[in-house]
Amino acid sequence: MRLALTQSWAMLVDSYRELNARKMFWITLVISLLVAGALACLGINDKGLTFLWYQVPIQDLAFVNTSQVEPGAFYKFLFLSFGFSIWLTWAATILALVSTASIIPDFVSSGSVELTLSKPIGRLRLFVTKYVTALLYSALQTAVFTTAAFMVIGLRGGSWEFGLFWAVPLVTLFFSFLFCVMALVGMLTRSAVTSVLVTGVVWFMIFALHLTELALLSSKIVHQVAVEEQASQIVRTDNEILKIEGELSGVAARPVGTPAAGETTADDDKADGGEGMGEGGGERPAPAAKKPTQPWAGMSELATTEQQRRDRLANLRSERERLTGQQAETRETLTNLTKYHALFFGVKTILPKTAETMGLLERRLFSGQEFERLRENQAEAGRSGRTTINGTRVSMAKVSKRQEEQLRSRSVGWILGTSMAFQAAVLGLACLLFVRKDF
Amino acid sequence: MADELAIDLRNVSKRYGRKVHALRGVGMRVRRGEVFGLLGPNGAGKSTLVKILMTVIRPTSCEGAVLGMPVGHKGTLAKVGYLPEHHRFPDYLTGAQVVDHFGALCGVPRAERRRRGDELLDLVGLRAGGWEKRRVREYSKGMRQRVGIAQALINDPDLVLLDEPTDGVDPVGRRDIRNILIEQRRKGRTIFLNSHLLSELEMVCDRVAIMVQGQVHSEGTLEELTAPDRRYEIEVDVSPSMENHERIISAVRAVAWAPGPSEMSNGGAGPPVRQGALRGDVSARLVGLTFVAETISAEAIQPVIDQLREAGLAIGAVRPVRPSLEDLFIRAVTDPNTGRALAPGAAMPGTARTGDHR
Repeated sequence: MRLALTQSWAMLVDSYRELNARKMFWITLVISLLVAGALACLGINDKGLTFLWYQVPIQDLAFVNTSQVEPGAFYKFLFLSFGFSIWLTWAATILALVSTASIIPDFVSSGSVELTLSKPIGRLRLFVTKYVTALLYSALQTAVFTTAAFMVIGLRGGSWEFGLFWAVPLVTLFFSFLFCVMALVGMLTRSAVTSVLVTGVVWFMIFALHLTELALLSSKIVHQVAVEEQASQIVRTDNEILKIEGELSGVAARPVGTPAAGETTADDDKADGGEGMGEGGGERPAPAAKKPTQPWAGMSELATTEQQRRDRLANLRSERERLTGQQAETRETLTNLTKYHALFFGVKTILPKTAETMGLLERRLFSGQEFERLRENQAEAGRSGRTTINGTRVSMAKVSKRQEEQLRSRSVGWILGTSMAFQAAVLGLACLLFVRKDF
Repeated sequence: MADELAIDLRNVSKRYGRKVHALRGVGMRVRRGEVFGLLGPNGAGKSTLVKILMTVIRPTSCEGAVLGMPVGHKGTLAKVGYLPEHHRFPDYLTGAQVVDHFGALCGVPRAERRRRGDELLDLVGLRAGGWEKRRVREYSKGMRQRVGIAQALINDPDLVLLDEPTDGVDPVGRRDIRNILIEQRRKGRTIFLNSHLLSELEMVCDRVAIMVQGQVHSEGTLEELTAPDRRYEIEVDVSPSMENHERIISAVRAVAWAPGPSEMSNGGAGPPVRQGALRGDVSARLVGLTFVAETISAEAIQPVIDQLREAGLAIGAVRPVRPSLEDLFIRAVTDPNTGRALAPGAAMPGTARTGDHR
């Protein structure tokens, strides 16, 4: 045990020295601090956004003020949206991948690997330890940035968010999902350039798949909402039809002089069963054209009202038919979208979920209500619109909310478990190659 | 017997695919406390063999032990030091950090690493001028070899395998390394040297093995290996002519000669050669004016000297001749049929002479 600890510690120290010797490590670190400093310069007051001592004169951002958002929540949102989501998970990760690309190729290169393989360490442990210690790069970068963010949110926002430090394991995990691919390619080709290129392509494919899946999910939800909207319109129409039919039945039950109830109903039924459901339902000759056999006083108005009701009923039936047709179309599209979404979701399940992994940090930092409030603020600022599906208008705010709920309902186990399973599989393959290879 | 052996190998073979047969049933024994030299031409399989011992390459088949444990046993490597050929240390480390890092990988405790590290860096001459605190990327080839030797000794090994330790080192550096090796032998360590520099091996090795085309051609002490080719040469101090050549033959006929004509050597351009034999079935020949007797016995040539003197021929020199390691090496790697160097890794079955001279 002591031997294993001594060896592992030596490899960790060696990895630190290796990072320390890389200029890119220090450049990235300095940029991280600059990004944190730049975000710290932003602030909010009751009028809106500020930069240092100046009010930012952008009306679109006027909704961002202390009456709408707490300063702490503002800084959390700021760091999450720009610091972590853009800087750490994109720019810093690209720099980290470029910087660490040569670690595995250097490790397995001729003249170097013989020295380590000749020591009393099993090959599997050697490779896994090297892999884990190489993740130190990302862990250190994230730790420094997170500490800076923690201080800014605490000092400027007055909120000491210890949950922010979840970023360290989450960003390191995010990085490891890509680094495992780089380790495998580095092991196979012993080329840092090839490793970076292949990892970049894999990352792009994962991201494209993620975007496609999100687009399909969004579209699916839009159609779900449209179907629901159409269903509720149909129900409303049905209710109105029933109401008018009831009223017409009441007219039919009138005493003498009114058309026989059975005759009217028969006519109506005929219309319902035949032309009434068709496109030209509204154009059929109106039953009101029949003249009463005995035109009593006041019957003229009554007949006019009844005629209007019949016309209205015909229109409603026509409308119902149209809605039913639209709903059938929407349902068919929804069925197809559900099928394609399930396919993409299935493929995504076996791949690392880089975006969702970072989304977990958002979940840790913002409760559902906080996030909802921020979204509502955005909606109020006029950022959400409406879309039309088969003639039915769908609120994008509703879609967005429901999509957010669905994304948030994806379990941590699914996001991290499946991603780590992917990593285990890729790393396992790299280990197998390393263990069996003659150097 | 097994306890006396640091390395005991039998039937070590390594194939790469179907065509390349790098090692073909190698057998080798290295005794504890000796300096053992492994030599052979490029592609003979020397480095492959060493890498198998160090678990860098997995053998196709292998029997035997290193320090009493089966080949491939990782734990044993804690007592083995290794300097690979064309090694590449992490260039962001200083010399002292290299030694410390590889010591830690061997499981040497921190305090011991520091103490031994200082001693070894001093031994290899890197502490002079504070070079041990400078990064390896600033080192010359010779300095890298020195730090390589220091890291190979940091774990106080019982067995040290050095693959071309004097590669790229200047004559002074080579002498220093040679002295270090002799010092390590004095301390009881077994040294396994893999080198092209035959003169270096000759100076420090107790025993050597010559590998050719993936097989051990010969193995033994230098005495054992050179015994068949040791001879005495008697140089007669007369002017070179065919007449004097015949005079010498006539002078020694009573003690040494068989009838037969001389043959002109080297297609007529070289001196005449007459084959013969001494008493006791010692083969002999006269090459021009030099009498050559294939024996290490000084007594056997006394009658020849007497006869020459009686015939009034002046003797210019009498010298025992022992072939150098280079002679042995060249002979081992030359195809006796064509006189050309054997191609690497292309031995035909039956051409190699494993353990011929053991």
